[in-house]
Amino acid sequence: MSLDQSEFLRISNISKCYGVVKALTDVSFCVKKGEIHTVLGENGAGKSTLMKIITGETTPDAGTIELDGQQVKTFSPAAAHDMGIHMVHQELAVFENLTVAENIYPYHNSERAKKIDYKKLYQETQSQLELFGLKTITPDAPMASVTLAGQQMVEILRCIVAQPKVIILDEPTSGLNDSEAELLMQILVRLKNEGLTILYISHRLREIMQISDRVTVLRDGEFVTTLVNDETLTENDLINNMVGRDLSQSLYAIKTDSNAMREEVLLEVKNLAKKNALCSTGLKLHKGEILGVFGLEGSGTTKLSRMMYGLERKDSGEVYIEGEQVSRVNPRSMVQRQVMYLNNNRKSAGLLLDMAVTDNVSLPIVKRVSSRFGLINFKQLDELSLRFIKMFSIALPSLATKPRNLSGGNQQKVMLSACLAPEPKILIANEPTRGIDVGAKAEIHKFLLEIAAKGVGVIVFSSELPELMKLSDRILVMRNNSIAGEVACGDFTEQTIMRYAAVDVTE
Amino acid sequence: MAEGTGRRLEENGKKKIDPGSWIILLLVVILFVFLSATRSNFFTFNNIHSIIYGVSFNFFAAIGFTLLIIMGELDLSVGSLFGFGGAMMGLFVFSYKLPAGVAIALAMLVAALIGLSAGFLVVRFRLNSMMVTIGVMMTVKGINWMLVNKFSGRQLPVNARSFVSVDVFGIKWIILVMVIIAVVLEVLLARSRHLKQLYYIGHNVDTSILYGLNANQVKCICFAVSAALSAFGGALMTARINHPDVTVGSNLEISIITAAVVSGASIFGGRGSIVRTMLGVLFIFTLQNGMTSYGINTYVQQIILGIILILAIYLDIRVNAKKA
Amino acid sequence: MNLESLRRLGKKNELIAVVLCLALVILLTLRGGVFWTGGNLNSLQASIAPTAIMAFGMMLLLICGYFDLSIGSIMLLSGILCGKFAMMGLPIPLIVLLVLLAGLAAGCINGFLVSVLKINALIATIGTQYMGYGLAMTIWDQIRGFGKFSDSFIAIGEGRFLGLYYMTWIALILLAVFSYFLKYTSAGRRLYFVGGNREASKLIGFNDTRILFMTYALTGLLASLAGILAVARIQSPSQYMGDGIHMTCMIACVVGGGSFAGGKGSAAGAVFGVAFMSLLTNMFNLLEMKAQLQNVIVGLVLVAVIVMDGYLNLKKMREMGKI
Repeated sequence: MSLDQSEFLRISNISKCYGVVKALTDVSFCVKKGEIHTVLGENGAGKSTLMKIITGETTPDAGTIELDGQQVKTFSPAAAHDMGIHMVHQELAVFENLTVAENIYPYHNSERAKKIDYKKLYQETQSQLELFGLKTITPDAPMASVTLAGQQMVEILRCIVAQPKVIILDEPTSGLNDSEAELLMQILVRLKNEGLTILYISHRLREIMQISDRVTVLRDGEFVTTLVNDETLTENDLINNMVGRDLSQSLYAIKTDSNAMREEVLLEVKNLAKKNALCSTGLKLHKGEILGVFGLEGSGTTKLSRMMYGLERKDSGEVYIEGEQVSRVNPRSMVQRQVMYLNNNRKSAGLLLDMAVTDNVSLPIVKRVSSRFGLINFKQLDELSLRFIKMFSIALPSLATKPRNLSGGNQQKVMLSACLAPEPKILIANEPTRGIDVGAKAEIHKFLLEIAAKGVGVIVFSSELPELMKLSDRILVMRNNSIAGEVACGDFTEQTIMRYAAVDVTE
Repeated sequence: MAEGTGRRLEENGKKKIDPGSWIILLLVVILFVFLSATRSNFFTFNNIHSIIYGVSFNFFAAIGFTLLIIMGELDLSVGSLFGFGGAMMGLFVFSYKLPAGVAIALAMLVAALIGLSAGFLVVRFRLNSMMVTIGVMMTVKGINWMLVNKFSGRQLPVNARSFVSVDVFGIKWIILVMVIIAVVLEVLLARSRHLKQLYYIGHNVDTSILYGLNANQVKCICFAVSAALSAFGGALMTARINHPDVTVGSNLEISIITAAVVSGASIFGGRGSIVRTMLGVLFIFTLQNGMTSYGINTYVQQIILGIILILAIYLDIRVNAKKA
Repeated sequence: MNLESLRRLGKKNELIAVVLCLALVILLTLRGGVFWTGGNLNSLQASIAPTAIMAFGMMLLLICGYFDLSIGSIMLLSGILCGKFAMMGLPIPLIVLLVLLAGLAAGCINGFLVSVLKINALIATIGTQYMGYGLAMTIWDQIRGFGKFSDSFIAIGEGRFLGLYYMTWIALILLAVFSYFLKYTSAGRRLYFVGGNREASKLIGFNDTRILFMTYALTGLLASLAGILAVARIQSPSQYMGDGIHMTCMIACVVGGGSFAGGKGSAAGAVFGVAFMSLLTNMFNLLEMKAQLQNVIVGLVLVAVIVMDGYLNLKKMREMGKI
């Protein structure tokens, strides 16, 4: 095979930092022409960042990308598009107000000034659909009536008809059921056989084993290895490469005993479900327990956390706090019952970026520091804020500083202070240490362990396995919108947990 | 000093006054100085008193508007509800022979119900407040027209209108009330947890809801209050001009929104102060007066005001549009 | 006509407007012979045609997910400018050209503010409405002594061809043009892309800023065209022209199948929506309902339309799991 073949898409020494977070460090690998190449890794491994760089959405700090011998000079979506790099995004860019045909052919496959020949358009669309075995979708169907899986196929078709050189798919099967995923796999194999180069991001090991030619594993922003998918490759090999960390540092000491009070149930969730988002799920949280919930992208962890707090509607399910059912599950009633929620995306909710830190911390307890007529006792308020600032060692020029001007770690601490200010009985923490430096992470872990020791029940939703193994008394593992398994803290190993998260039990 | 924090907190070790927010004070001062220097009878007690007197009526429409804009909601029906207050007062006084005080109170009540309905629609169906209140404005304008036509030209009985122009120490009582309300609300916005909520909701409604605030209820209440206060101002204005009239409150929403944005509020929410809005209304009103004294035609004034509005909104977008 | 094509017909957005129009026509016919008289039909044309012309522009914007509240002022300004230019003695073709250019310019200003500077469409067009009104009235002061237009100018509004006014023909031609544009040209379809998902339309490579700008410019042009036709018919400039017409057009376009969320609408829908509003007014007049009460009802209809549209969109988003 000539050099052309093996180095069609060449990624060399790519590095990218977002502030203090190193998203990618010196990543290099090659994609062959006409192969299906999977990029595998846990959440936060760097896959999305790498794809953003390849598609020009963002610029690397260092390194180069070469496609078919041509080096990428400008990083922009238009430039990548022109070079023939097309991506099917996870959040579909579909036009639900239009037909399937127009979604596939936005340029209507005809010249600018000519009258659109719908008959011809539908025929061409129909032949494309048939070619890919999509029998249930008709060209003139409104996109809104097509299922999510169908919409995904349509978006893939849109990419393909533009005849790209490389097509990138980001978790295309999240949200698809087994038969739909199967169909997609078949389509991808067919495309590959016709010479298309496919870069595929997924953590679904079964699919990866089924269709990939080669698999590149990323971990913590670094390149681990590229494996060839021959007969000797097993899922264990993949799992081992995904996780195999040196866990001997104290930052990630694994918890081995639990001292939670297993008798007292603080929070119970029963039959929580929502069409296409969550299968009937239930869990129990005990006093003084840290319950970890782990899942890879698309497994339903965030939806579960939001539905149990009332941030999203559910189709069914009940929530019980200390035995009593919560009649209307919404944040207000949860806060009244001393349950607080630490949000996973502090920029969208959880912080008031442009108000003083002291206002942020005191938001949930402003009633407590006010007189009967509602006048705020600022002295009390500031004392309370100072207490938390000291407790968390938040580096702050003054109480009036705005969270927007703080580092990610300090922002997270401010948010945590706001959640803990009302001295809750239960804390639901969604990604409590996302995007912050190692030092701040350790501090937050220490604090979560401390409050649990005092009897607070904590549920930690996280995609960082080492974190969960350090904190949790038990870990629930989610896959495909339901709980796939539970691991107790005597039995924590990355492999065990990852197997629940990534492997289909029905094999 | 973060908006809504209210007291002069030490930032970076020294006391800091946020300069940007008080540009409006500078604008007012410059305008007054300019007009005093160039117009001979501007800087007299009578003239300035009468300007502030005129402002005090419109001020009531601006209070509720400010409360809502802090939360990022725009109430474009304030002008029509202003007129509604007067029209309703006319109805109650003429048809039901009620004393002025009762008539005004009832007018405010009905207006509050209208405001509450608008607020309900906005929060329940997650509608754009501008659009809903435009619809309300059109409807209320029509009602005003009907009512005013019914009593076409009839003058209010003396006891229903003379109370407006009562002087206290040589100053109309309404001005004093305006100043007192402005100061009290300004303090409360900073020190009362009920009003501080507005800033929380305006800065990030999702965060507010996450930590248990009842954003929907607060918004509905503010819509009702805004409507009632606008009606109050309009009723007073109607008493001042002695009879219900369709021009009361027409296009007031344009002046109010310009006044609010020029004085530092943002249509994105999180910013706003009653005192500053009062200064904003004063600025716009004085500007209009000043232009008239230069012989600038009312219609040309409209063009100029429109330009100021667009400019102010554009600056608001440049400065405050939240980073994605 | 089999069941399937009947179902298709039922799903068409314009159906509501058509049904409402038919219902009103039946009601009006039943009420006694006045409806089908020449005089009534004439005034119907005069009320529907210019409004429909403006509604085409409003509908195009609505498909993109935007709107323009200043069309009433542009119409008023156009009518008054006709008076001004006529008073200056300019020949009629030049008058028409200049006024159309003025409308185009106004549309460009709106387009610049909303599309380029990205100012909120509602506020920007309220601002330009206010300014436009001020400008129109300033010029109105200057033409106070004007009186009537020349007969040849009035002919623009009063002239007939095969029984229908010119303005009706213009509206019908524009209906054909815009229907074709929206359905059979790539450029027209782009409006639906921009309105359906503005971000995604950028990703595909459409220049959404330019598309939006040109749509606003076109809307301004159409508003001034309507103004010329309307003012020619009433024979002399009026300071009340275009009052509240943006509300009528908004209701008409949404009833006719558009949505404030964007991505939906059609030229035929605009016409049926306008027809509905005009027939409604017609019925109110025949019932001798006072103008003020009519205003109140139209206002309530507007609120109802806004709420319904918002509710339907909310429901759709919920079903798709977006909320």
